[in-house]
Amino acid sequence: MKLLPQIARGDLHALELLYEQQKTKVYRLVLSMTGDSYLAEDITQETFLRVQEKAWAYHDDISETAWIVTIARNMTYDILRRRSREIVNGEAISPDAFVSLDTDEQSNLMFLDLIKDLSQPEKEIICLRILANLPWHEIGQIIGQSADTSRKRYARSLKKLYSRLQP
Amino acid sequence: MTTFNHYKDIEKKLRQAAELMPEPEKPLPLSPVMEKKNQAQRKHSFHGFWTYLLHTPAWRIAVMVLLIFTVGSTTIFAASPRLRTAIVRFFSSGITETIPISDLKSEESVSATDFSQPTSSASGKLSGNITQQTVGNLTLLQDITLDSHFTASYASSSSYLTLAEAPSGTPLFLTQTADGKTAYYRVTDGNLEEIVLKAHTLDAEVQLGTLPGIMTYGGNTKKYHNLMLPAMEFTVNWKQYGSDVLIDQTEIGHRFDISGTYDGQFVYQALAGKEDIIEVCFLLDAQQTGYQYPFLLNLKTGEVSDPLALVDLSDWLCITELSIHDDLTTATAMAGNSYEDLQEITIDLNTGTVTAKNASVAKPPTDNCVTWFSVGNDTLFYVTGTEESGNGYLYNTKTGESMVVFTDTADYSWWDSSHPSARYWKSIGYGYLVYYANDKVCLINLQDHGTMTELEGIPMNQNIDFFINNEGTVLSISTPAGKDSFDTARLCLMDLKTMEAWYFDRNLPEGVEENSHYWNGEYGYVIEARNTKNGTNYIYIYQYTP
Repeated sequence: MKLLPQIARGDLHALELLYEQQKTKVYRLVLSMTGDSYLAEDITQETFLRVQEKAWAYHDDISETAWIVTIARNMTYDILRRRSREIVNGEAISPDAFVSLDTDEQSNLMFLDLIKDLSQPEKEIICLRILANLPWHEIGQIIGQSADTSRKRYARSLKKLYSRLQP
Repeated sequence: MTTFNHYKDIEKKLRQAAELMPEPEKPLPLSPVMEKKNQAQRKHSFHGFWTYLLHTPAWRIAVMVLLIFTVGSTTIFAASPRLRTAIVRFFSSGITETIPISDLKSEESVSATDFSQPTSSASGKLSGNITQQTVGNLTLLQDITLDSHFTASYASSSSYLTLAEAPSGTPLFLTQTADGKTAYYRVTDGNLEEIVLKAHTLDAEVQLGTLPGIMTYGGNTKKYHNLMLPAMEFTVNWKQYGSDVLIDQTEIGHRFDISGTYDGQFVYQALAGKEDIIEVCFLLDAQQTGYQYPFLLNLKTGEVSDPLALVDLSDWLCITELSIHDDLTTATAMAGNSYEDLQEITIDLNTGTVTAKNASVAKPPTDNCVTWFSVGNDTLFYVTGTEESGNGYLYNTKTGESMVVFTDTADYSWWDSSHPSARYWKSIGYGYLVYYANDKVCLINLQDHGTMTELEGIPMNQNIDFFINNEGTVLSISTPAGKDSFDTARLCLMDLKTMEAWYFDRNLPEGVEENSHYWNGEYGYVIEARNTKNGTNYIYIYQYTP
């Protein structure tokens, strides 16, 4: 059952259900993009606020997961871009500067450690596939490439990871 | 030696690591919009729901995208050491279009409590300005507004107005009101006329055939060669308009829980010009597996036939995006022995012959490609280097000649507005690239030796949408009103044959947001919009005449 049409009509139960279904997926995806657990919490919240306000615009030509992931992705990039332009002491802050993990968190973030050396598009394709569990054609829609290209990029990313993880 | 199994090991390790990642701690946030809607719902005890309009399935879109990349051209490739360049100037219509809206209430005087619960007998009122105003080759506006009933259904967004997917004949407007009633309208002599179509229902049963495949579920991958699914019953509702079957949009098919493990869904698709046969596609847990099995349903007899009955697909372990053509003689799919190695196949449904389209296509002269695709006529486009900084080439697979299209240019996905001097490229299909450099935006025609045409007046803006129609003849360029806006402030249409172009500006009333843009036929460009305050729906149709 699709939940977004119900949310568009103001169904709070449907919204709660959707949040329970998708929150972990969205949070982990954003966390992997930002490396900042606090920022990831905030963006996850913002994503679901946007979902509520834009639910009417959802159409069935993409899955609900892919639609929500697209919102989360765009919002994350927007925030990272804005923050990277902020000037502190005359120096621009890069997205990496926002990584603020405590020791407990780091023990749970082996995933981030595994992908840390990949380029941003490579990280993204890994996250969309592994964390969001999206099919190739929807990953392709999200990143603006064909399903085939998405698959190839994913395979190349795995290949790179494999070569880097070899002793 | 690196093998596929090694990659799978890495993938497994990533999945295990992903499972260990933390979860969010904050509770569900509630937007003011949601609170308001919820209050309105409670006041009216409104709990009904209807399924949304089922648009073209995503897997069909994916097939279309793949076809875009592989469609052949009639242009003979001749390598040229230099790109030819030109400038196309967009001619303004001279008119700023103020989008008309009828019966729009003053927003300040409207609150959720002002609205009454719609009655079940109420129906939406369709009105419109069938103005047919033309400027040059462009019909400026034909707007249809679905209002009245919708101003009374504040709490519901289940109402909609859209073009029905009638494959041929006069465009039909499909409405669904908040009470779930649907109605079709057509334009006759400049007026909107409701047409009453007889509704049909058919209960059918299907025993799905067998397909090889790989199924990933719960992190476990299982190969199967003869997946047999139990017989399943389903219901399809449809209406007949001329020689076209209009699938009742309120019915999107049953979902099944198969053996308590897999979730499935039926999706219906009308076939152009077919009065009695529709395609039904069974999607088995499509998000996880991509498994799909198409079959044909005779609406008059209820007979189910298997178009793949003659086809031996045992050579392919992974088959996705299977699509039957309207003529019922061919089908296309992506197939391979792993999801990392798929290629497009064409299936002759009469003979069962399977042809791999790319089997005879040569690869680029280097393995160090960021991406590559065919642009037809023995020509490949490929990019070497990295996505952050790549070099693009055209390569003639027969002569072995290459020519440079661009150098040191980033893939569009690397857009960074803090570096305005950067160069970007982006494929928009049909053998065209958009190229951004030096505050200029250019169109590159890969099928015409990489000819570069500057799009004068189009700013270097990441959020501008480029969208070519299905026939590859007209390009629309939609400039949004703002950074976060989906609304089109300026619409440009460019004839790709003559390279003539027009634009006009649009003023959208406050509170109205656009949600869908699409080509309807070769020359119709449609924008669907909605007033977020009162739920009124709008549809704007722009007709381009070559």
